[in-house]
Amino acid sequence: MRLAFNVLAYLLVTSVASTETKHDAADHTAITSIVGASTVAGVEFQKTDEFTNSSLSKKHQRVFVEAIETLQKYQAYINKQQKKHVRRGSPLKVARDASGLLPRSVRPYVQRIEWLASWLFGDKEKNAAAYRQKQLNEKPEKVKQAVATMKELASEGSEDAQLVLADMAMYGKYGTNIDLGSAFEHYKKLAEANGNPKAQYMLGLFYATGLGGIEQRNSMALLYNTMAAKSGYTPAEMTLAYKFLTGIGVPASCKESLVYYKSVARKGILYYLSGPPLGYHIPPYRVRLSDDNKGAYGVHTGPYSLYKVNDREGFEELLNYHLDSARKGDLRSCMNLIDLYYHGHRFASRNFTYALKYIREVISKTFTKRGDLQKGLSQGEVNSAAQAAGMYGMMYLRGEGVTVDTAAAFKWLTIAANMGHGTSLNALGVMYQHGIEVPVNNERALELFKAAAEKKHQSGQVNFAVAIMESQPQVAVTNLRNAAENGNILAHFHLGGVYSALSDTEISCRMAVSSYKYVAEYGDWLHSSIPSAYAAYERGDLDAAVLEYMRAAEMGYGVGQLNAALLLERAAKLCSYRDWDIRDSHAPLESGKDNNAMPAWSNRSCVHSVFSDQQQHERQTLAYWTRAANNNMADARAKQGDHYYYGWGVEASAEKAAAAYLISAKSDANGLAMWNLGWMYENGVGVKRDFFLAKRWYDKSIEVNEGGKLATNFSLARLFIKYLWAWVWGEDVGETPLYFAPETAAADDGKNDEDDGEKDGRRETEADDEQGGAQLRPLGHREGNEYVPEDWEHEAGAAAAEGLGVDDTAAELDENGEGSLSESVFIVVLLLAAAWMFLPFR
Amino acid sequence: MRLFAVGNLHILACVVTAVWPKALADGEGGVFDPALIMEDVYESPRFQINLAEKPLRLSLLDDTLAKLRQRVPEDPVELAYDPVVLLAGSEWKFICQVPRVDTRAAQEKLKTRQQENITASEALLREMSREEQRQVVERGVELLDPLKASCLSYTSEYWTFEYCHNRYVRQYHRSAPGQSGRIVEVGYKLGEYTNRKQISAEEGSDVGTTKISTIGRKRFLTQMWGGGTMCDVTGRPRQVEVQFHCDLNSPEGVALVEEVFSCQYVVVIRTPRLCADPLFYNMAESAIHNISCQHVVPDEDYDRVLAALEQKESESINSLGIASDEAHSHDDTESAQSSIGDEAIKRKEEENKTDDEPQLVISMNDPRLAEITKGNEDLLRLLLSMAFGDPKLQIQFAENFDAPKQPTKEKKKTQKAKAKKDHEEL
Repeated sequence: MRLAFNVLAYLLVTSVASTETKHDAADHTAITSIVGASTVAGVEFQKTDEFTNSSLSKKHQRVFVEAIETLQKYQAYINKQQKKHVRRGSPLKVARDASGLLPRSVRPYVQRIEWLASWLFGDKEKNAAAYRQKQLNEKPEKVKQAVATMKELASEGSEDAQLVLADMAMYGKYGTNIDLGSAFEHYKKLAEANGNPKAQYMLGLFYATGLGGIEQRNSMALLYNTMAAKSGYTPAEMTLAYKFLTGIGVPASCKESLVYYKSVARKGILYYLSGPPLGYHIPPYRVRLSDDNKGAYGVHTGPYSLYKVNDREGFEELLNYHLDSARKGDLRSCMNLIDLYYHGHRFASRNFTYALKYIREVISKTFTKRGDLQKGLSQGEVNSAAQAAGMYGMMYLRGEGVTVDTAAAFKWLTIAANMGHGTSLNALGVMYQHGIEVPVNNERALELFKAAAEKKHQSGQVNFAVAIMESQPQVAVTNLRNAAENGNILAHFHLGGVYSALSDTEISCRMAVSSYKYVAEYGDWLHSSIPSAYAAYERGDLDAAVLEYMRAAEMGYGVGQLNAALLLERAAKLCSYRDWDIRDSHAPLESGKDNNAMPAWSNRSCVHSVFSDQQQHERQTLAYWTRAANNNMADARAKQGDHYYYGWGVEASAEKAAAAYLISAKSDANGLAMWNLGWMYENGVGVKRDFFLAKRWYDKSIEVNEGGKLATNFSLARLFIKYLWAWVWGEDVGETPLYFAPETAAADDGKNDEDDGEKDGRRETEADDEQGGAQLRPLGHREGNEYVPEDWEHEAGAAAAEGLGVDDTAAELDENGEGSLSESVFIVVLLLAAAWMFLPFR
Repeated sequence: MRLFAVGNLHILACVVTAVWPKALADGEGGVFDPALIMEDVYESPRFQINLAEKPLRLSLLDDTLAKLRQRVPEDPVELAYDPVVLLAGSEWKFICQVPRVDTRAAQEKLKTRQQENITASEALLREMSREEQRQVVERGVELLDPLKASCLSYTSEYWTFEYCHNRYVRQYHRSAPGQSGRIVEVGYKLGEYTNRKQISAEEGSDVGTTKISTIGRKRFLTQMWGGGTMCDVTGRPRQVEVQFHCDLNSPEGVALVEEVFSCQYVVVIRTPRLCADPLFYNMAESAIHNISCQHVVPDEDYDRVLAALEQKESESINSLGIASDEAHSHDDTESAQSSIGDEAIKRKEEENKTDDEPQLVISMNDPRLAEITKGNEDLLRLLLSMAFGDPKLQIQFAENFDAPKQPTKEKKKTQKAKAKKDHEEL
């Protein structure tokens, strides 16, 4: 069996190799020789979303090109329009439908009031939908014609035209609505008739996730992806690599995974080297959508929380400050601006012209006309001068913002290299190595690489390592490791090669995979769906965004998994319990049912979801939280716990929830998870009831997240009452009092020391966090569900407390154990009236 | 580093879930799989693609499809077969039979099987005579003995835990030097080796205090150490359960310390040493369903492809061990690929050669054809060779893609190949 599969994998490798035979020569020089970074001439690369072939006649081809240009122009126009209308603030925040929390008998009345209100004041969502519908109908004649042309070409059997139509339905492009059912049909037709790899890959996505009401089937997903990968389709290869690495739907196999990751990495590196000297720029940082929403939970949950302040205003303020002081001639500001414009930033795109402007300014300030350093410069200014000169040379060498001028490049790089600038040393080495402007001189190149490596310049380290791989493999690998630790993809690629050649063991295979995976995920110019996903998100097209992020998630990107989960969760919040179809439309595996029958897409129960039933939606969300958590995304593990606790998409299991919370509390120091654990210990849910551990987790929760102090103190107070209650009734509550433990410094128990120690460690990390009562929704905060969370009464109680203005006073009190007790008692007295009826004495 | 972190979490999950069922005072829950927290929602059912050795003639495709639709799977979890015809690019065509797996039933089955596994491993322990168990424990303790050399420590937040083999487990915290330059150390013992709990009758030795435990499919050694510092919560001395797990993937050390109840701890020591005993090193896999695929070729290309495949097969079996050795002896990974490329070229040349010797393979997939042929093979051969005008024509009647036989045949061959490979690697 194994052998048969190996044969398939082998066929795959050879077919990949054969499709690239014409590049093989270039390949060889690029990767196997001592060249670390060089040009690969004459290689054409195809991005995965570009059009492949043309089985059309010349005339038809022209028609196709015209039509697609019209459509793309129109799409650009729509994008611009949408971007104008996008709401500022947190796009992930939605007004929740809380009526699920109300008793059943009251709901109809509330609904009537809601309806009346929306009728009177207008419903924002509905207005937006109506606006969109209006836009759909007002498509320009030319666009309608182009679509008709596409349909015509498609019926004549043009693969490209069919692909355009399929994508149009899939992502709702060119001013149409998303129609996953028709997209599936289009892709299916393409796959069946032409064996189109992209269509097969998309079918794989449908089957892997159960998108749009397709029955989720691991088998079909595997088959279609394997076929697409056989044609060398990179996203499919990456999906398979991830599946084999993690053993999702296939037997886990590091070796299979390695084959695919290696192929993806190889293509990435080839593209990288095909750019200007020293390679293309690395794709930019991938934004975590949680950053726009103040964390996955909307609050800061602990030191490793996904919470991050990421505001445009702060950035613009800083930018203006630097612009201003640069105008006044401040060198350091100039350097900051050069860095910003050369590399680009989330809020400011890359701009070589601006970068050049500031480089020239720095150079004019620090160098004489003849290219000598001016006298009387401080050390900092000299460093700036070297950096600016080096950048200037690099830009001439690579032709960025200027036309390529190797003579000027050589001049400025030499100046900077003589001043000890690492980048320039490396670039100069490359010039010597390839004979750009100077005759080829490998010894000189090696010297320069060595010097650059000593300056800890990453590319320098890689080039040096590659050059000495034969003679001093030990030193070479050390250099590669150093560069790889700083995220150099070329270093990772070479390390992957070293590891996979090392031995046949599982460990070396895993090391090789992790290196190649890094290259595949960070050198993803050709196959990543994240840029288009983020662009869709930016213009407020969240349905397209979630589909694109799901593609990335299936490829194994941690960020894709996190973002897809966040967007899916948002959609679930928008779909109230009323929207989901009540009837169980998902009776699987009826014998008479056609296996690929597609439920009509228009029948979907909730317009906000890309799935047709709630179960599948929640299951997929859980799958992405789990994968994100396994990819070390903080907060995701706690979200997974929530899913287990409430049974969203899985069978509810308090034990699994507790286990997930414990892991989250221990490895992420997640405050919410700690509170949840405390609550579970307090009530004996999923764990054995233990007041002491309950108190400890509550205390820890306060340490980590001071914002949730009020809620936690309330819980502590309740814990105290329960403890007394249990003690009065003679239950086993332990030997010593819970609250009156001896306060000696070197306590036997050490609890207090523990608290102090943690406080010191954590203080700084949460300086900027101020969320009063933020923890009020401890076990997830999704409403609109039939299930009423057991502890929702806390919210009521705490909300009452807030109404009384307790919040501020309570937050200042707590300094030591005594304070905590008196405070607790205080709150008990205050809240007892409001909360006694809710307290579940169990 | 990342790998290690994930590994740690795995162990944490294992222990958490392992300990939890015991914690369920009210009889909730039951046995459950330790790795479930890490497990993906879609982890199972697992599939594997098997490519049949022989291709299928295009003209027989429709018949085969019809046949496949009617075939009933043997595995009760597999409800039916879905035949799928797939193209890979424009030149490759496959027919695959995809088992339709009843997920619910499969999960049930998995669950019962896990329970069976657990009971089986418990049964295995029970079956093992006391003497055998004693030997396993004795050997295990012996394997662990070198741990004595130094103490293992583990820092988690505030506390540092120290495990000294056959001596004690303690936790302590050293404060940073204060104003007076004094370093205050706070700490207490979690348990002492000398206070081990007796499990069986044999007194004084490790054998009497060490137990073979099982979680899910994993076996490990445990000892219960008492005699820690007095706990004022429970009024009893602290206790610690020391678990020794076999772990080949990470360095020796303390994987985890967790206080599961007040003053009751679990310390997990992971060590490759224990893996020397196969009893502690086995991982069973969940059921894998097969997707059988067959390459479909146009009738006119059939012979050529078949011959080429046979050639390839025999070659790959012969060269498996050697080729991999070659690949690994080089520092440069690319050499492996280029050698594959060279082989492909060689094969192509050989393909052309085989074309000179005509050969005919007749598939007996069609029942009508099979019936006609029955008993008349010789006559048919003669007729065909006359029709082709080649008296030396080799004709073969083959049954390919005939359902129940196929997998078993394949299996045998793979096993053979595997054995050969293993042998050569040794």
